[in-house]
Amino acid sequence: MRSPSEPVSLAQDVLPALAAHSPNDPEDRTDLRLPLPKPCAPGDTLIFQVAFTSTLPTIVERTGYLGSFHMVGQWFPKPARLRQDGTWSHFPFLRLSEFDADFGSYDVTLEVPPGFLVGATGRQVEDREEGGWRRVRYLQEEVHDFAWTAWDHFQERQASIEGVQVRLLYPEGHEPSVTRQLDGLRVALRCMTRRLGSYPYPTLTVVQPPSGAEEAGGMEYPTLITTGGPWYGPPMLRTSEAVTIHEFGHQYFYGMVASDEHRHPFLDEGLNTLVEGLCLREGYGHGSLLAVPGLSVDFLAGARWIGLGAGHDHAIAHSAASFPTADHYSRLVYFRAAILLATVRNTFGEALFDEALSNYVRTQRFLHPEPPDLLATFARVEPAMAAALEEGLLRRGWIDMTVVALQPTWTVIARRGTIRLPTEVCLHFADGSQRIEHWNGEADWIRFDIEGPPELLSVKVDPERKILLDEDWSNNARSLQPAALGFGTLERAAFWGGLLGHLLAP
Amino acid sequence: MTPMARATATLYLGVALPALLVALVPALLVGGLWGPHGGDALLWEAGGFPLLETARLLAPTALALGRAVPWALLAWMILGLLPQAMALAFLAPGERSPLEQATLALRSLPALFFVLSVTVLARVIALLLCILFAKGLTPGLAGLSDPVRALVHLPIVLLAFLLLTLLRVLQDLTGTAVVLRGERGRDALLTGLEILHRHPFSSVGAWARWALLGFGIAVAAWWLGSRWHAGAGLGLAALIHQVGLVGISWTRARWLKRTMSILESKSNL
Repeated sequence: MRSPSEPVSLAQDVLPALAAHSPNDPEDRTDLRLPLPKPCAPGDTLIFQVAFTSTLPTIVERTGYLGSFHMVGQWFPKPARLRQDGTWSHFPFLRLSEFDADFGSYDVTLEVPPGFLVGATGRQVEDREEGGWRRVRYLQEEVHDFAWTAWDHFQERQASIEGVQVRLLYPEGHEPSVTRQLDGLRVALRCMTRRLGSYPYPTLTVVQPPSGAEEAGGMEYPTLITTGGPWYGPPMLRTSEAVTIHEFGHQYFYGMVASDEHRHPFLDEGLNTLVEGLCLREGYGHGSLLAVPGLSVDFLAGARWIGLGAGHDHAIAHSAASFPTADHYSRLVYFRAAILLATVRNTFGEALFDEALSNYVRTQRFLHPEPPDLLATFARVEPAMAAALEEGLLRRGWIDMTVVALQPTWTVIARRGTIRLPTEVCLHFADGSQRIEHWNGEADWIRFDIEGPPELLSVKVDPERKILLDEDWSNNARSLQPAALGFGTLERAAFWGGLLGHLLAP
Repeated sequence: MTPMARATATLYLGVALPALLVALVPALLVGGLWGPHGGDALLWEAGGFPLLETARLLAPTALALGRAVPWALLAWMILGLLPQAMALAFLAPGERSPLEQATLALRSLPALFFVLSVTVLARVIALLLCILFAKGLTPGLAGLSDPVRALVHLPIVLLAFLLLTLLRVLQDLTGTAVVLRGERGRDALLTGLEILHRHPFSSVGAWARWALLGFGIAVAAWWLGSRWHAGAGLGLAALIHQVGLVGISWTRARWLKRTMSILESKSNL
């Protein structure tokens, strides 16, 4: 009797049995089924020897070549992952969908023409010239994908951040942009290590594709990320840092916490976009998206604008293939999910939320969590927090706090929508005093009666605007003496209009 | 009140009053949104959450209003001919009664409109030619790095800027010829071209000195005024901004005065 670890030798060519396997898409050849000649029992070991040729496209869907630049992702046959419930995680290579695979150890040797710089997943253990070719070998354990890049025009910079050897590969002239990406990485590593646990790999490779190959940028692979942005990097705009921080965040949400990006894209993109926003604020303050004299814009303020743009006509927790448009996908999966999470964090308390998120990441490291795992982790910390997330993620939940009536002696606040959140109500009185009332948000509405004097002058619900998911902040207040004119707006618009007038002056 | 002060005041009112009228539109819209919240001071809160909420909520209205923007800008340019003509009439040498000054300005308007039309058309053509030239160069630059590509395009940007500057100076010299000498539009354009042809550096240099000073005043006013957003600070910001606009008007009046001396001293036509 053989031991379970002893390989079974089939010594058989199984290729003729290979068949297309995409449900509802007979034309697809990216999702294939390979029947085994005989069943594989639990504990058996299968060894596949696969010879394959991968024909690279010109850059499309984050992979391919442009001139001599090569960004090579999704280039080898990848076995489908067997889920806990016994089903296979498999799907075609779709435009909106990313990936899902099992953890493994990669030992990859690449041969490129001399003069080409190579970057790849993992640590380089060999680099020599042989027979007119450059031969480089990379090793990495505990990852679920392997990507590489090669170009004969790469510039290179190296740095050590928090003990991680960072290698940046970029086109000539992009030094200002690379300096900002390095700064973004310092922010990200410090912020995410503290919030989510350590980054366990010794290396990180950052690739900036050249002009014309931007499609290859803004993508994550284990221990290798691609970024983007113009070479001059406008200093008031943090896009270069934001892309770098986002892609590094995927080393946690996708890399280590390896949720199924095809079935549950919000588990990596939504959580990662939230953490991106928090780390950007931690590193760059309130101007984490834009900072000019007199004006600062937070990344999450931009996320709110984009995230509310798709409304709530589709649930966030859908598979990547089920979104009607790329616009819906990005607005809901990235940004609506992020502002829902930020809302729950703001309203239930940053400490509670951060504890739950940290627990989720630490307990799901090197596993393949599903939405119930996330919700269960939050429920263990605060059940109401998990309930709000469940409503917002799984059931098209929405919320709009509004003041529906105001009189000198009473006011009524309504919670429109389906998500229940605790909030504050600020009552302003005619004598200039104010009082904060706490409301658990469980009922559809609440009435406050005032035994004056002093009488009510105005009322605001959620005065600190913690509920980023609120459909309309302008209806969160009522006043018996509202200001009719925006004087600040008038002043600034008159100034800028005057400047424009001088510019247009005949 | 000196002629320079009257010209400065005219140019200032020529931009400040239309700007105030236009500014009332967003001010009323924003007041409608944030009036119950105690006003629009929250728009300048750190983080920009209410500011972006305003942009989000008013975007459909802004898009609808935006369709009128090209026509409004054109109207603004045409209406701006009157303060320019009045300022030139104030600055023109010789004793004139207010009625005579107004008559001079009004009589100049058709020729000034002709000059404006020709120079605006010339600006559009100059810009289009520069853009086409830059686009034509692009395929040949494929092998170069991004900064080198930008460097190759830089002379085209400078050329466009130079052409626009020359047309600006031409327009002002021509406008002065119209008001000061009573020339018709075509003759005034020829006068302006002749001066630019004979004395390009001194003419453009004189314009650049005042234009740069005006630009510096604008930046300083923006930077200083951006420090205050609400309450008494808002009044201070308004004061700084409006003083800045007056300062720019003064530099423009000084330049118009200079065009008169250029015209007098350098044209023996």
